[in-house]
Amino acid sequence: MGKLPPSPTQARLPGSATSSVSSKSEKKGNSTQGKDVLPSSGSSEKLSELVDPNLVLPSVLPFKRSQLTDRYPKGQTRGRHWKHLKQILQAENYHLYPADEPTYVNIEAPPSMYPAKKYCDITGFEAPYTDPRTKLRYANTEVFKLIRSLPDDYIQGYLALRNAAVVLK
Amino acid sequence: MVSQGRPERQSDYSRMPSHRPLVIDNGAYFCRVGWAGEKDPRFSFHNVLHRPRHRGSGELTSIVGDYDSGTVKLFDFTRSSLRSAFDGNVVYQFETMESILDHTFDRIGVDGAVVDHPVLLTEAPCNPIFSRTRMAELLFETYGVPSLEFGSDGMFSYAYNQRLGLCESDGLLVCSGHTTTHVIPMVNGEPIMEACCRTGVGGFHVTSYLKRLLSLQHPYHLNEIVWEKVEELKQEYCYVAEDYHAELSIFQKGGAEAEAKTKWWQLPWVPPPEKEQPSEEELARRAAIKEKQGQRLREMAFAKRSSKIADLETEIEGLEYLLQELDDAEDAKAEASLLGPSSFGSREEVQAALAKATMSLRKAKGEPVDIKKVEDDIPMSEKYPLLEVPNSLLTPEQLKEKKKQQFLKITTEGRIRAKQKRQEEDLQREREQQLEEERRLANPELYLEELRVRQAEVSARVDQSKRQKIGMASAGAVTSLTSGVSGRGERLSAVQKERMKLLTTAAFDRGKDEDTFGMNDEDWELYKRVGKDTDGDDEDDEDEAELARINIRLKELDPSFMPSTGLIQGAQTVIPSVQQRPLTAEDFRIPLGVERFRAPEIVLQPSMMGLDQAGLGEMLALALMRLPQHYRERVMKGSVLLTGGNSLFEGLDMRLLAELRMTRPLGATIKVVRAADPKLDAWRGASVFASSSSFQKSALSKADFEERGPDWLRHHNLKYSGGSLSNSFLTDNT
Repeated sequence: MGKLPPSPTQARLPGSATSSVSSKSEKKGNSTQGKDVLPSSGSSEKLSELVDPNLVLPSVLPFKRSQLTDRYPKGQTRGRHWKHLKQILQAENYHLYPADEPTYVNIEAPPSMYPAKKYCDITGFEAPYTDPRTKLRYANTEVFKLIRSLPDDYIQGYLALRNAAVVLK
Repeated sequence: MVSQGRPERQSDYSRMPSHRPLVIDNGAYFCRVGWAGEKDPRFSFHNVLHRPRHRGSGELTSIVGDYDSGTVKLFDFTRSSLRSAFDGNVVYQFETMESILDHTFDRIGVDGAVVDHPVLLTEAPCNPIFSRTRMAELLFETYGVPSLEFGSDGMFSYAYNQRLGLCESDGLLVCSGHTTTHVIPMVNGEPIMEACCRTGVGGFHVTSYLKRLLSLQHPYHLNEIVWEKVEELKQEYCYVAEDYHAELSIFQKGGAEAEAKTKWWQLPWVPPPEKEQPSEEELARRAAIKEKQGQRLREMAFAKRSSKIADLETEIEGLEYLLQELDDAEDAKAEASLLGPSSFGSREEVQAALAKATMSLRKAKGEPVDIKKVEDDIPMSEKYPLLEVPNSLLTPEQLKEKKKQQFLKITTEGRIRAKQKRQEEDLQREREQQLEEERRLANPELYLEELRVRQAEVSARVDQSKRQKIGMASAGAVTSLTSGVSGRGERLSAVQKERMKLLTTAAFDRGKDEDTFGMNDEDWELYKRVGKDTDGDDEDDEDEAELARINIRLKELDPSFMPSTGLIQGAQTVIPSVQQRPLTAEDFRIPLGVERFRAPEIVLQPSMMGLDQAGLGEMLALALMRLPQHYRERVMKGSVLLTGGNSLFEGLDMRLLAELRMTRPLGATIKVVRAADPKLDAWRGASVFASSSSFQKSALSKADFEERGPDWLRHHNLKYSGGSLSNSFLTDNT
């Protein structure tokens, strides 16, 4: 973000004790500067070196106590240290909770009590038949002819639509 | 929507009193931000982060929300995919979340050293404590927020609509969002979370389903079917059928009603430039040129042939002369001197060369060649005189000669044997044909029927193998269709897959203790099966030959028979190769008929997208079942409120009414109402709540957080009904 217009507020150390008056005046300077930049980069077609501060998130924000750039200095990759929802839920220790306490896991809807209706994979109509070769469901003979002429990846695409595709690993 | 495009930085931050809360509706799709007590959020943006590279400096930058297309000139987006902080409806990536909060506070105009306003943030119902704790940590420690409160969007929306008088304090809340759909019973304005029900189907899934469906149906237009466009189509055309099966049968029958319900998406289409018909003269000129070229070729061929004939004739003449000379020569010495300059070793060789040349000459002149060879008549013992003599009696040179003769003998014999076999096969075929003919004469009908069955079988086999080949060829173009499962496996042909399977099973069978592969002879059988793919082609050829034979036979017997070329015709209509036929205007008009209500139906029937969960209709019944008996009637006396962006489908209220009618007793009153603004009511409800005195009472201060920690967060549940007590914020600045 070295091409950002240098702003006095960014130079200030985060969390440093400055009076609110001075910070506000600095901010004003910054915002007018921003307004100067905006039309020049927005209206003209030339690739200016300046970056519109309304578009790009500044890397240093005065109201933050710790900046992302301080935690991740330039060149250092951000580690992949987040947990996915499944891992989060596993780590929640829900089994220690009282059984009647509502949790993210137990408010989940159970499987449907009704048998799943079968619809034609191609047309969406009700499908009384299933092609034993491709496993696609179909509504009538015309659709059957069509599915027999489909190439393999389309068959798999239609199957994947209802999560029934063969996944070879 | 409040903002299309980038939000402006708000300028009135400094005028806000420091106890006025900031309200952030942090949804998986949209994030809406504004001040407590105001009627509308100040701005909203897509809750995503882009990390493009600045083209000028090569620096990685962060852009939150949408950007206009002009930005692509300045930034390189090709290597950055958009990131969301959400997994389902739960925040899990807090670095992305931090960037989004940066953007939020920057745009609202925060100019102090900390964010010195209380914050009300929405979260998923029953948000995991881990996520809630991390969020609290982020807000308190990084931004220095003085106090914080969490609530759920659906409940805020309910409270807001209750204020508007659209629903009562008891009722059923249906909140369908970007990734999830909740049904939550409300009693006294408070959610009964014990009876809450959630499925993982939302607007995202509807759009994704529609997009994949359209891409499969219209493979020509893969480039046009982009997420934003499909989202737009969904919002404009999709509806929920009141009775899905009745709606389907309308379309199945066709007719005017179905046509009226079919909408069209017209893609830009420019007719290909008409090829002007060449004029008569032009045609004549072309024909003349062609004729001339043909003539030249013919002349060249003729010249070549005549020169060859002339060559051969001189050669024959020479050889004949040589033979004559040899005949005239008296002794061997004279013969040798005659043969000396030529490469011939003996008189016989000269004769052989002469015979060969004569044969070639005849061939060149186009005369019938007499293949019958004289040598056949020579008895075996004369031709190969050395074979009978024992080795011990022969000189080394003779031994060599014997070996040569042996080899010659074997090859000739082999040729004769092959000839015999061919003759036998011919005989056999003739006999079979005779048999078939007899059968046909005995029962023509049955025979014809049998033949047809056989034809169908073979042609199906041929079709299948052809289709596999085509499938392989076009696999590259459509791997994007089966998103999520694309990988190495997709690129393999069926045969290769089969081989891979065999190899992996072999590997796993033996992977236990030590590698004993090859100890038993039958291990090696595997390779026979693995190597099968090479002769697959031969089989196909055989099938094709047989198919052709049967087709001819059928045509002979049944003039009305038309061999089906099903695959080729079908391929032209279905297989997405642009070259196969010119595209017409019709191909650029994409019909949306069944798709209009098929895609939203996955909310009511998740089994349609392969998710084994109760649909929305069933969830309503389930939520009621989970309620204690005395609450059930109370809740049903109130209304069912539909909120959330995914509830905007036309007809959803009527459908839910129909679904509820099936489970409720006869004559029971059921009310289904839509929220005043399903997208923004959550933020508005939160804004009202944040400006009430109960917010100040219940909000978690930084000191509380440090003292009590995550455990407090777990047991902290917001009382939504307090929001109706409004205070001074509502009067100013709205």
